[in-house]
Amino acid sequence: MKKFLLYSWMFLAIAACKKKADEPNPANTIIDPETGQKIKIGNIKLEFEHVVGNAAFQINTDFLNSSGETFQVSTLRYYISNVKLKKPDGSFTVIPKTYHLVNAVRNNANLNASPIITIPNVPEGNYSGISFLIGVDSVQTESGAQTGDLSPDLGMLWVWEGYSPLEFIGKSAASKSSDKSFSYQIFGYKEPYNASQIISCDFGTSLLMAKQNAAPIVHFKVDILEFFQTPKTISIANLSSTVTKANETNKMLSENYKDMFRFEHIHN
Amino acid sequence: MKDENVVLSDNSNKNIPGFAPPAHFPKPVYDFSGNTIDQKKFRLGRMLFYDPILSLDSCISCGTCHQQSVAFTHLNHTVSHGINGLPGSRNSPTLANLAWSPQLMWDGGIPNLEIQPLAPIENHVEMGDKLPNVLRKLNRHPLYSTRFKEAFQKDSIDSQQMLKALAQFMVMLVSGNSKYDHYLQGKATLSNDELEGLKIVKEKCASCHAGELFTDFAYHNIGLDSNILDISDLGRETVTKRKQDRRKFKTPSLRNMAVTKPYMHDGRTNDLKTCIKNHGEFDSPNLDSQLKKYIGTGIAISDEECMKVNAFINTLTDPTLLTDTLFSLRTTDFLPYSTKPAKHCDYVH
Ligand code: HEC
Ligand code: HEC
Repeated sequence: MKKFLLYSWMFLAIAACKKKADEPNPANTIIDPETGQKIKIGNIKLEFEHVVGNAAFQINTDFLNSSGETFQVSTLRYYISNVKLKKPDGSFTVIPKTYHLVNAVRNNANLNASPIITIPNVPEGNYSGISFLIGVDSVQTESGAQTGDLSPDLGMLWVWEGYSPLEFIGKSAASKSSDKSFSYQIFGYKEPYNASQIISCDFGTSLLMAKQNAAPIVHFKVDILEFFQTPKTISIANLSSTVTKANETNKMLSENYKDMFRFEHIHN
Repeated sequence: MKDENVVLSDNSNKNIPGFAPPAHFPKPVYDFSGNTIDQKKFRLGRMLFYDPILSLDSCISCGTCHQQSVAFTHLNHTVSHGINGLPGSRNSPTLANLAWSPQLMWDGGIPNLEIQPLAPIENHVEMGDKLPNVLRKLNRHPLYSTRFKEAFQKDSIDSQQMLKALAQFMVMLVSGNSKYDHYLQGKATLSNDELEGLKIVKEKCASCHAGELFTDFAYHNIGLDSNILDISDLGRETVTKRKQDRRKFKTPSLRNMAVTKPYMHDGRTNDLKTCIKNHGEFDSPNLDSQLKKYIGTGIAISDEECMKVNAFINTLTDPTLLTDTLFSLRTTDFLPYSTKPAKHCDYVH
């Protein structure tokens, strides 16, 4: 039954993709594959507020990492996909798949505003937690030419190694490269060096209330300092760049960015 | 996937046949449901395949290294030469019957045919360009911007359209019209030598060169080298990151083998006979277990048997694939533009 459910959702995901990805489903209902009954659906939003320790994130601004190195960020992008919502009874609702490339440096008009992504097709109800994938799963990666946020034009796909879950580029005097840049475009979408990471958070005492015609926001803080620390301390001097190849280093860095994401609060 | 999906809806159109492989072929693995065969898209794919616009210096096309007359391999090239004549590291494989290939490249490193073209386009020793630049060039080109609009009904050309069109052309490169196929269909007879060759292949080769496509699409180390640790091309290990996959390569089909020399992943030999006997010559921990019994000597096959296998392999040559103008560079596709290479492309051969 579990499996059946999953496939039905996948079908819904395909049907949903035919429309503009982020538009709310005009019908506002979907058929529950289990009961055959209509269920109401709405959108939820995920907001990613980027911070560096206690400071607000700004591009091309000096910050200090845990190795005492000064660095500036020019690019930070990552994929969010495979959203699941936890019900108060502990079970998970799998949301039809959508793929979002979150860009911490959004656009010229408003470089430092927090990006917000919309997740459609969320069944109405109260939820007590969320999980999502940083990266693109192997089924989607291997399913052919893509468009939208998965378009190879965006420079996140390397044919041999799939989609980069996360790309982090900037400058630092500590860098060993001649142009003083650091460049970590992480690769690896399958074992043994799978660098996509599942993030799971409980909302504590809050509940996310998904409803037709509403779009509650789950607010996350994404702490860039965590890229350089826990479980491993990364110094730019020792590691100024990564290779476009799934390997131990990429996998290790993915363990580090896993804890960049922290649940903050919900606006219902 | 239902079979109806893969047959062109309008089979009466003689320019583009439906995707109708011979009945003795297995089910294709390519997902046609996301890319229904369509005359306009196919033609665009053919144009792109033969157009050096996809390379940085506008000299190299896919067709440079994948030539129709030799089953879409690179004639007389041990390893392929791309932009500025730079050599690659592997031999250009045939593009026949790609619709059945679950993974691409000698090591299977690319999981879907649709994204495969990104590899040569962005490889600095092949076409050396960058995708956004290629798309800019296509969008600026009046011929492409019109044709893509007609085929895909979108305002501008994106990589998905380009890749789907190329995939349409490539999956249509079916090779199933050889003398051997006619024999299976009761339309031709094989000579005694050819029949005995077939028997030997079924006995000694078909565990890997399996089925009617003559490949199991799996990866084997066939013991070509005395020391597999010394060689920079790790083969399948590159993809799986497992030592036990070092120097394993995808079994090539025996179809059209008579015209696709040089042979093996690195094009090491021109001689079909040597190439067959080479199987199992050198031991290593990764040598395929079926070949262990041949260590030191190579596959147990006499000169006479080899001659018969050769005779059989000749029956697998498919004139349709090699000559049908449906798959050829057509200057008319490009009119009023010329398909003559520029002067600075003289280095291409
Ligand atoms: C410079 C020569 C060169 C050019 C140009 C080139 N290829 Fe290739 N092609 C190769 C080589 C060499 C391989 C094998 C590579 C490997 O195994 O790593 C290959 C492999 C392939 C394969 C995989 C076949 C299989 O069965 O695994 C496909 C498909 C393919 N090429 C299509 C194309 C297309 C489409 C283009 C144009 C966009 C193109 N090639 C341009 C040399 C070339
Ligand atoms: C254990 C599996 C296996 C068996 C058995 C086997 N082959 Fe192969 N064969 C391969 C693989 C794998 C390659 C590619 C090796 C490489 O390039 O490193 C290959 C390559 C070839 C090639 C070169 C093809 C090309 O396009 O480069 C020919 C010809 C060939 N085999 C013929 C035969 C014949 C004839 C037999 C039986 C007498 C046979 N093989 C038995 C696995 C096998």
